[in-house]
Amino acid sequence: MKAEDIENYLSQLGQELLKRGIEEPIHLLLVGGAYMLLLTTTPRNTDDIDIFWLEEEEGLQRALRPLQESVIAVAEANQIDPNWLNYMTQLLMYDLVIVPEGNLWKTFGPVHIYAPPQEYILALKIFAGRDKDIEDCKILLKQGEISSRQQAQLLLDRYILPDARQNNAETIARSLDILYGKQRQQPAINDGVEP
Amino acid sequence: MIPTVKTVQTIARAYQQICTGEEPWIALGNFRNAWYGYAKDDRLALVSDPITEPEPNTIHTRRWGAFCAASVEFLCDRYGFPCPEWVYHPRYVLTIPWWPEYASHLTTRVQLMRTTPAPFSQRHIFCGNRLYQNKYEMSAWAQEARARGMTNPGEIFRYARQKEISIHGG
Repeated sequence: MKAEDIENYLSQLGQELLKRGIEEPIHLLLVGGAYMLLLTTTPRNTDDIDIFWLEEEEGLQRALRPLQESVIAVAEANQIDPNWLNYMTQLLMYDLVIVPEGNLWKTFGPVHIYAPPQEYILALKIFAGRDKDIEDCKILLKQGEISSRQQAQLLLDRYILPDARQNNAETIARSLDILYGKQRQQPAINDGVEP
Repeated sequence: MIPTVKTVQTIARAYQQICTGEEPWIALGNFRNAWYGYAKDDRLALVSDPITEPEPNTIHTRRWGAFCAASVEFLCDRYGFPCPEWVYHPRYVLTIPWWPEYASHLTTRVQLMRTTPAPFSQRHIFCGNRLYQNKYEMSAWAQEARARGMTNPGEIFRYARQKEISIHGG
């Protein structure tokens, strides 16, 4: 999926929702590969558009079925994967991370797409820690202002909930080691060992 | 004596028991015994009646309502029965995903997401794929293996396990 495909599919999604009588805005936060493609200068494609819901539970309940139907209609019309609009990341992380409101990026009928700060995407990718996330981190680090491990740790503290940081400490440490080099062990104070 | 449908553990009955405080795995375990065991010749009757949600509908009862709907879709699909329409109602799709308590690590969740059968994952319940495996079938498949001339216990187990994977996916 290229940048123009993404906007084209989102536009069709808006039309499908209107056909189903959905006029109230549905607020979605753009994350993942689609964010990298559209909002950073990353020369890459993406398999799908990762989103987080910004809806309250009641709005989500109301919008979920028509949205799922509309996503399938767009997939069938364009012969693409029915999971082209993907909220799996949110299902995985909903109680592990903070979800920021973001800034409105574009609207496609009732579909309102918001963009989080770039540093938020960096925090999510350090947290997820897969090889492709690390590669995206390297790109984000070149484009952003986070230059030290300490700054990255502050980001994680801001966006990843404490229990999640603790339970996934190994993955986070591995990501940070790859991006910033291994952390040096602090010498213990007065450990009784002669230098 | 084969019990009548009035006394067997239908899914609607199991859900009602959950809503009135029964331990969910007991209520659903009894339903599972009916499905796989004493009422297996009357499976449609076990799932045709919709569940009735209580008022107020709490997180607990919403979750288990979705779980019951997913279970019915899963079992009907696996065993080739027409699925009752009530299970497809959007109220049985959880807006807040449901993970097992132990799934606090991201990689555990990714694994569960991969292995959970679609009727559950589409309702945002991520429970893995081992919930409806059952001893009744393992015993029947072991007998089937013996009837085919297998005598080695390891070979019999592998045969039964292969059958299990082909139906339950894991």
